[in-house]
Amino acid sequence: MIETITIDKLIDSVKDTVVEWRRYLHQNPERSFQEEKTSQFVYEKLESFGNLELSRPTKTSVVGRLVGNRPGRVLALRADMDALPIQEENDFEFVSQNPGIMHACGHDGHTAMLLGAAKVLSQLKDQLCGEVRFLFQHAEEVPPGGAMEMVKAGVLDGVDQVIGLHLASPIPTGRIGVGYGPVSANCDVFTLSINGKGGHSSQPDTAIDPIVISAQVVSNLQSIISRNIATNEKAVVSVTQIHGGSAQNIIPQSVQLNGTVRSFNPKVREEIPKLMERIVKGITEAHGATYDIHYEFGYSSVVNEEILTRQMEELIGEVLGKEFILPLEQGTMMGSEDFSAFSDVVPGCFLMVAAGNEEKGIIYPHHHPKFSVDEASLEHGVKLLVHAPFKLNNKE
Amino acid sequence: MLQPNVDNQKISAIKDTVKEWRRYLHRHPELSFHEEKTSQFVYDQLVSFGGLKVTRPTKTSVVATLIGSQPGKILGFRADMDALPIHEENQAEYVSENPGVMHACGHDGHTAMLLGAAKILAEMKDEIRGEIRFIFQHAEELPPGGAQELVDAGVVDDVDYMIGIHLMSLLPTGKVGIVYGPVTANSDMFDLKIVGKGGHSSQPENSIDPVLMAAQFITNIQQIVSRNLNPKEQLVISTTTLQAGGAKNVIPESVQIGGSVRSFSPEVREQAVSFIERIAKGVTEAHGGTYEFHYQYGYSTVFNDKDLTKIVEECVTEALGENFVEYGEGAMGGEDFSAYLQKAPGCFIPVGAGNAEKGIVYPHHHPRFDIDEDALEHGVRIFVQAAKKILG
Repeated sequence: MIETITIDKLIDSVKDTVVEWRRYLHQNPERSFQEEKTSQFVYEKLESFGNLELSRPTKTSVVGRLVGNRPGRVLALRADMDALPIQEENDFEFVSQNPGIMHACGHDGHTAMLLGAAKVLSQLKDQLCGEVRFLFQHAEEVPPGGAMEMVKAGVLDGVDQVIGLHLASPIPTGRIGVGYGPVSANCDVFTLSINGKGGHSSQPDTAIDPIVISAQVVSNLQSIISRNIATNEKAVVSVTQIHGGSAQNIIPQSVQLNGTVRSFNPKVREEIPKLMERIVKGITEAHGATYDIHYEFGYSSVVNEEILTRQMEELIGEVLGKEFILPLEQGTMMGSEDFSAFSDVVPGCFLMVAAGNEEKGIIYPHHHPKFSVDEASLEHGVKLLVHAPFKLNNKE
Repeated sequence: MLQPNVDNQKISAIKDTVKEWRRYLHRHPELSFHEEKTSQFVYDQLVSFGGLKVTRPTKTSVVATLIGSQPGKILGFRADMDALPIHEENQAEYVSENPGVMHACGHDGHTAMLLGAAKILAEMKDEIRGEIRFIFQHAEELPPGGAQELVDAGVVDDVDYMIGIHLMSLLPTGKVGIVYGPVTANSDMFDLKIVGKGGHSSQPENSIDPVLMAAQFITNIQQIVSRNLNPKEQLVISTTTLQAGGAKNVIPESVQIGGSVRSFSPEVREQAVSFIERIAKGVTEAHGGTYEFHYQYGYSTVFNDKDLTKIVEECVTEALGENFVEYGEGAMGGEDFSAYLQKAPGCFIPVGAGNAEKGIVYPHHHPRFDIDEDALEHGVRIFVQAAKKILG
């Protein structure tokens, strides 16, 4: 058994490099499915560590396999690498150099932490049981997402468990959020067209007014959550876009309604589009209109497997201290994550690494033009990733 | 040939009698289909005039026929006789003696005026070419109404023109409404039962909430008038009753909705029926419920015939004077005078009977409704003049 002191020394030696990598990545953000320079950077770093078997399952993703010299389980560690179409408004020296593109969700930090862990673990091949598979994923931000592509490419073949970390600016550095069961929501999207009959606004009797019908549809949709879904289930139906009309004196031909549906329970997820269509059909028929609905299932809910999550919670206590453990209630995060593409296949655990710091002005929410992460948190993530295989891979 | 002017002596002689008759009827109001003493009173008076053939086509209606000296057209005059289930709050000496029943729509006056006209015209038989049918109708206030029963009994089968008068407390005495086209509305009602699935209010997911569907139905039907109706048409849809639930913590099984639908044109009337049901169907299907829809066609629009109304307008000026005519438009009330119009063109005449100085300012169906008795003479004169002009 390897001594914790040895590991911690190695982590200590990589700490500043991780911050540098994060800053490099922050300066050079790339959008989903276009992470060419990012993935090249990651590939070259991994290659430089030695002991890693590298592959590129898709054009802009990278996988590194580290096979230990002792038998044991296979643990996958995942980081996402893509940035967002946001113009950064920070003014630090490593601000984005790509106009209109920004790492505003912490993926730069995720990638840097996993690179740091890979560097440390690649030096511990002899002590390592089983295998650690480093998954550097592209395109988390744009459905259908990169995770699904990687799974299809076989990156989980032989994998027993998967762990992912997400930096979280709303929680002050020094905590790790642990949730059991569903920790992110199923996130689905719909586009709906209410088709009436256009005409002159002075002659509503010759038209079928899609604006008024759309208003009725939006009102009627509210009763799905209030009346049809059990109160102990969590779900959100939001109509987020209404587009109709081109002139003040014209009743338009159709109105476009778009929105998102979030849920946790798969049954609720299946039920909501049926209820939605029933309402849309009934209300449009009530007024002689028609509709086209397109419902797209997006990322599934990330469900943290209980045994693995308990072990990770123990590990947080052992490696960082019990005071780091921050229990998260279900529904804390109604956002969505395509980590579920991995955790739907093998038991997974997705943890929130607190990275907010009011004193440093790191107070902005994710996807904000002034979003940032407290770099002190990166070490916490690296520690968890490095220690995880030693806790999880030994079959005895 | 009749003289163009009404015989003032004859009218003056009967003026006070008409007022007395009106007061007798006002003291003794009877509800729709129960006008037994009223119809007996009318029957007795008509028989006493002589020269009239008096019949009782239904239990509480009376029809008197006046056959002129020469053949000609048949003119129908109609007065309604029934009172309302209202407790009178007036202080007049002729106040209702039947508690809870009141002549609060002027039918006492209608009956008295037509009796007066019958008495005068019965004495002018030689001047009449053709026939006058005095129709004292029961049950105007309660659908399906007395008029249809009289039509079904054949009372107006061979009638050429129909004329009816309605005293109006909101039109000042001295004015007579002349309306071309629709005067009253198609006056229909609907019953809608929205059926969901009852349950505990804590578990809406196991229920289908009919209260919610009812609310959506009521909101959605507002679009019929605002969006489906041609703006130049008139239509009123009112949800007037809404009943559901027995306990605050129980989602009820169903909701009962009632409403009234008023329109003028037959096309709009039919459109409203189909739009209401389409919305009931769509909204209930939208939420997994069902519905039972029952539409009751009530009185149809009273539509004033253009040519006859022109004649009536002339009669008003001839019989009363230059300043009496007040042109008006249709109102959304309902009247079963329309039943006669299936058989003959007609004219329905609002006669002003309001008088602010006398405190006669209350609307029809109000417990303090009254009419200015000076208006009774106007009605009598119009009937007599119309008979002379049309059958002279």
